[in-house]
Amino acid sequence: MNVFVSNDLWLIPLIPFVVGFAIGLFGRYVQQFWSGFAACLAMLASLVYSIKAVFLLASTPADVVHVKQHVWTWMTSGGLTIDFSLVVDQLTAVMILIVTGVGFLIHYYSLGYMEHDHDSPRFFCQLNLFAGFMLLLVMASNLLVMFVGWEGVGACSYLLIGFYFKESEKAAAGQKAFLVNRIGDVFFVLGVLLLLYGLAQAGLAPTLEFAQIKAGAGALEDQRLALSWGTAAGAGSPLVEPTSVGLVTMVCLLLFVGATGKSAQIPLFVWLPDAMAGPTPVSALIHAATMVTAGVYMVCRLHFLFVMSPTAMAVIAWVGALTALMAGVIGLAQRDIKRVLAYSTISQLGYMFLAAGVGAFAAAIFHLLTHAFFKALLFLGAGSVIHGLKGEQDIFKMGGLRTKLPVTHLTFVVGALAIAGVPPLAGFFSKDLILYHAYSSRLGSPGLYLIALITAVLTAFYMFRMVTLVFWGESRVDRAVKKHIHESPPSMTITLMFLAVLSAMAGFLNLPKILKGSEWFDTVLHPVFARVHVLGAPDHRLEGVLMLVSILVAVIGVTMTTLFYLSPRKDEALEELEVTWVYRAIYRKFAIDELYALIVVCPLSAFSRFLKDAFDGALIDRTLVNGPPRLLKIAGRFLSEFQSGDVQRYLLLLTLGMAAIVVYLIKTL
Amino acid sequence: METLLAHLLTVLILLPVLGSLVIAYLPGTRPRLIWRAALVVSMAELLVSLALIQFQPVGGAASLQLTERCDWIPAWGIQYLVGVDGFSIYLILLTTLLTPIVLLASQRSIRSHIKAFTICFLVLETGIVGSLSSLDLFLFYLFWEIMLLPMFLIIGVWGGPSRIYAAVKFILYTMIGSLLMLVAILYLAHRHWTLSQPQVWTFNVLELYNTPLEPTEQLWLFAAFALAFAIKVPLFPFHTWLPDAHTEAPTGGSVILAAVLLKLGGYGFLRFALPLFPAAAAAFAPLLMLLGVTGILYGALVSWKQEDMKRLVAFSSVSHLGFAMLGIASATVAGIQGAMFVMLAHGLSTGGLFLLVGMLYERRHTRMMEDYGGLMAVVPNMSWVLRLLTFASVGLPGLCGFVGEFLVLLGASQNEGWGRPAAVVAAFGMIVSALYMLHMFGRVMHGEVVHQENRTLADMDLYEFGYLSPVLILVFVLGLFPGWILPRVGTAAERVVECVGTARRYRLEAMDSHGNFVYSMPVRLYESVPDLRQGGER
Amino acid sequence: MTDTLAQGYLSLSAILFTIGTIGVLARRNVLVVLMSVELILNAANLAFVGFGRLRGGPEAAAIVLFVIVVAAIEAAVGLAIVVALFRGRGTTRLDEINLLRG
Repeated sequence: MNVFVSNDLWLIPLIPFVVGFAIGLFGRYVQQFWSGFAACLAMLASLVYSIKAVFLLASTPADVVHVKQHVWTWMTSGGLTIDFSLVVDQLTAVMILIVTGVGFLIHYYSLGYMEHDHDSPRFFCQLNLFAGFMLLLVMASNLLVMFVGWEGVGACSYLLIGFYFKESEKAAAGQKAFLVNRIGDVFFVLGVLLLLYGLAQAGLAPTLEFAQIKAGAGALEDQRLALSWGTAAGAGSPLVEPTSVGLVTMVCLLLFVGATGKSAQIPLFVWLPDAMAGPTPVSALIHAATMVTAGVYMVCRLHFLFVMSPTAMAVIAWVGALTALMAGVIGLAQRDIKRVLAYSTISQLGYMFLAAGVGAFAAAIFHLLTHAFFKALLFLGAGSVIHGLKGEQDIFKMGGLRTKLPVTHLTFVVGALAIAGVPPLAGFFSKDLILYHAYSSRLGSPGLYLIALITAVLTAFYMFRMVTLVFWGESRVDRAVKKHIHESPPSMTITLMFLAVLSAMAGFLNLPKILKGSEWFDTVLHPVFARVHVLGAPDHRLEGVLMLVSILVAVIGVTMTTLFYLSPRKDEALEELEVTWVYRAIYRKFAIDELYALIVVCPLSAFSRFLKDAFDGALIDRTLVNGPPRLLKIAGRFLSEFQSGDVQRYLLLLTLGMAAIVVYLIKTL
Repeated sequence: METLLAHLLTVLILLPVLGSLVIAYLPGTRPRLIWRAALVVSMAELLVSLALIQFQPVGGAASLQLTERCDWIPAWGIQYLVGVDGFSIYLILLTTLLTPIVLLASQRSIRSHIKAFTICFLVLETGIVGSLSSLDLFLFYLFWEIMLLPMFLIIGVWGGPSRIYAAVKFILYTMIGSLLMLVAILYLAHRHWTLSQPQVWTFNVLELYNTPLEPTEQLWLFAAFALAFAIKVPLFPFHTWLPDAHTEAPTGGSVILAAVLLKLGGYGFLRFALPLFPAAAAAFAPLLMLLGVTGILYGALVSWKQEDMKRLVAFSSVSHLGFAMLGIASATVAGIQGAMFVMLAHGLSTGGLFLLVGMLYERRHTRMMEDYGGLMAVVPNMSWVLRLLTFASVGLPGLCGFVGEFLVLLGASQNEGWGRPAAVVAAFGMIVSALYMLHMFGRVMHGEVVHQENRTLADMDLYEFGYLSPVLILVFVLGLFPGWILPRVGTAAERVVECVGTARRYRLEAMDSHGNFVYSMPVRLYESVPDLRQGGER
Repeated sequence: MTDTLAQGYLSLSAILFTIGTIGVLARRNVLVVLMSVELILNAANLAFVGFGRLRGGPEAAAIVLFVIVVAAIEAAVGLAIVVALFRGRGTTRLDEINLLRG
């Protein structure tokens, strides 16, 4: 196992960090243009260094596992040493290219989008910091440095969602995102701690380095964790308690809960739709292309742990599939253009987890890549529409924008076709790969496949519902806005075109063998995932059949939806539909937010208020702490009655006392 | 220079109090002169204390360094004995750093009795540095009480509307604890006298570490010490003096109180309660962990519902120091390192928060969150600083808060007793801490400006930014380079861990054979320590 | 003979003492109280004289002289206080003077 050392890796996250801080400190004192310019330049520099690192990796001999740079030793405690070190292997290479590449495009797009916002330095500062943390996340060589990035991107997402802080609701959406992410993060930390515990139990040196965990993972296989307080039965213990679970399973599940927070899966997905309160480029970069994929990346990065636990894999696959389905269903009825895309993102992330859960890690990453392109494209397209319509986001108040926004229209349709899975666009190949593995993998099942297929139909439906309502048909735009509709500035449209090309072509990176392709992407990632043996042997006939089904489903879905929403009778049909309880349940997003508020937030809030007022205030402070002094005070007041200040009363008591003593003495003597 | 280094601790202890004597004779009619003199003294103290950075950890029996010793009251074996190790140096540095900052910050808001104000802070500094370096229990007790008086005056004279209540509550509460500790100290010294051959009186803690004590004795003595320290920490449910004291104290007082005085509690556990009574410490550990974890969640939840910013930050202290307590009680190296780190990080982030709240108070004369709102548009620089401190306080990795919390959780999860469930519960405190800090930030900074008075608030000026900047820089430095601190704390922690660990093992064995709580104390950990370099007698 | 005389002295002393005590305890006017104190002192003097007569010797007479001096001083100081009190509080009634009330 060889490691190649490079001294340039740290520049990749450092440049956005430094530039971000500089913009934050000085951005307000220079012309607005310069902050955006510097931010773009930073991303470009980072992209250049990423490409350099990738070429370095590609040029190393075959036995080199990764390129590494040890930056400094972060902390040591007992036997545990945590280095601040960065690695680039094939998986990281894909991720840094996405982050810096798509990141640069979105920065460039933002130059136009944020042109008229006098607060743009703050925006670019936070966007650059985000990029830095994201790069740190994917380049980290150990779990704790990954956690730095993991929480850092969460913090930046909080800042950027709440960018329009003057509107309290938007700021609150940022807080919600941070808090929900924090719930996941706590489970992440617990997973890390349990992993350390497991290593200690297995007699291994404590470490959080991915490479070393991978090397020692085998020893963890037999570790079990008793589900009672305090003790745990070690390996080879004669009596494995009936209530024990595999330690690896538990570690994986804890880490996966962390991933559900970051990647918006059931049960922690509620923050992502609200996160659309941020500026649209933020939604594109953070809440579509990069940050939300961190959970998928983490599972793939730790695939060697996850594959050891079939239970955890099954949980991931099913959670992914169900999330995909649920979000797809909710996406059907949303009216806000960005919310549709948000639920679509949740749904697509579900696909990625489904892929990871059945052991198709390369497919998960491939979908991550294509999704980054087409979803960034769709969000930026939506941003262009919103920009052109002066902030209008309701798709029922759009329509007929085809002629007014030609570039946006064209690129948006490309993105929609890609995500709907119409060949030969990128989404088709990546989604088809996932569908195939969901069916054929040893961990897969027809049930998973079916859910994924239904979700594919839903995807086609909600995307083309949106495309039809926004761009085609007759215009329903408010008259006041209508006059001002305009195509976006070049920096935005150029980005759109660029991403459209990527969305259209990226699929060919992994052209399947049955289409005479070489599955190049799979081959590239092969060194990372080489030890995964859960995928079934390639079955080309099955693959062909499933592919035809996918194509059929996508094409039918797209055509039917378009025809329905273009038909003149659609309004009546919709009116009928809207009164049904099913529609209302979907439109209200199954009231999950309200449910969480009812079972978590409100009781906690009431409990805190009880603690503050009744427990802390009344019981501890006023009764237990101030009670005894008050008793003393009452006693003192009673006793001080004797201290009347009346000399004659003193004397009377004195005399009586003396008399009593005299009487007593006379009696006893 | 040589002499200075040889008597570094004595210089550090005496410099502020001598400075305050000089200030006492300055004319009271010239406030600028007094401020400048106080600043010179505290800066000189800071410069001298920087010499502590060269401290290198030494494992084994001679882990205490820079020791000085001379007899004080020979008849009772009371000595002037000082020395430092990894536990104390960073707290001393924190004290010497924050004192000048606090003086600078108070310069604008304090208008009356300036001379007394500066004298109070300098005497307080002497008390703190003295407590942190005393190795003689009598001397420690003396400095421990010296700390109380200036703080009492600071709260009672320059505080808010109900300052008298807060000051009296503060001093009575703390006194109750420390008087019990005094009784325990006297008992301990007497016990050492009866057990030693030939009988000698000593309050030297290094000697007393070796005193063999009965388990029941240990329990009582530990309880007395622990109560004094728990009140100081403050450990739930002994915390209610803190919100009042914090809220009523002037900004400077709150900063020193939160950043340094509370840390004396944790320090006391590490220096005295744990190694002096290891068996009792092991027995009490589950209770301490329980209270620590309760404090984490309780402080956080109560903090969430506060209306007053200073009260909110005060309760957040209860939550943060719950982490410290959990780490200490876990009696693992990682846990104790984490606890020390939590204390240092809390000193910076909470100190900074109090300074910032103080700035807002100076401008608007209110601490209620409802009187603010939407300030981000008005005071962008302040909002950036508040944001940074918020992130540091919620433990964002890369900033100072995270390292300590992680190590505490790690240490607790290594504890074989109740540490693991405690770690699991404590981890959830991280969620609630984000809840209340973001809640505060949101209420103060987000939204539209609703109060007309807030539209014209002045942003931070260079002066304010100047005295806050060391804190802000250290927030990053500690988060990114904890390696500067952790090993030195680690060597000191190893001794304590060994001490408590031996006692716990012994207890388990005894319980195996007898089935009940019977054991004697075989632990002699600091055995070879008495041959200290006797700087005071040369 | 001497016994009866002494008894007479002592009885008179007891009566004076009782009157004085009642005066101190019952009267509200500071001046009357002070005068009652004088009565008590003189009762004590009388008792001394009575016992001195029984025992013989000069000690009793010496003490009596001593007490007279003290009584004079006491009267001087006491009256001064009364004057001060009257100036300060405008009253010489004891039940209206309770500065030391707890």
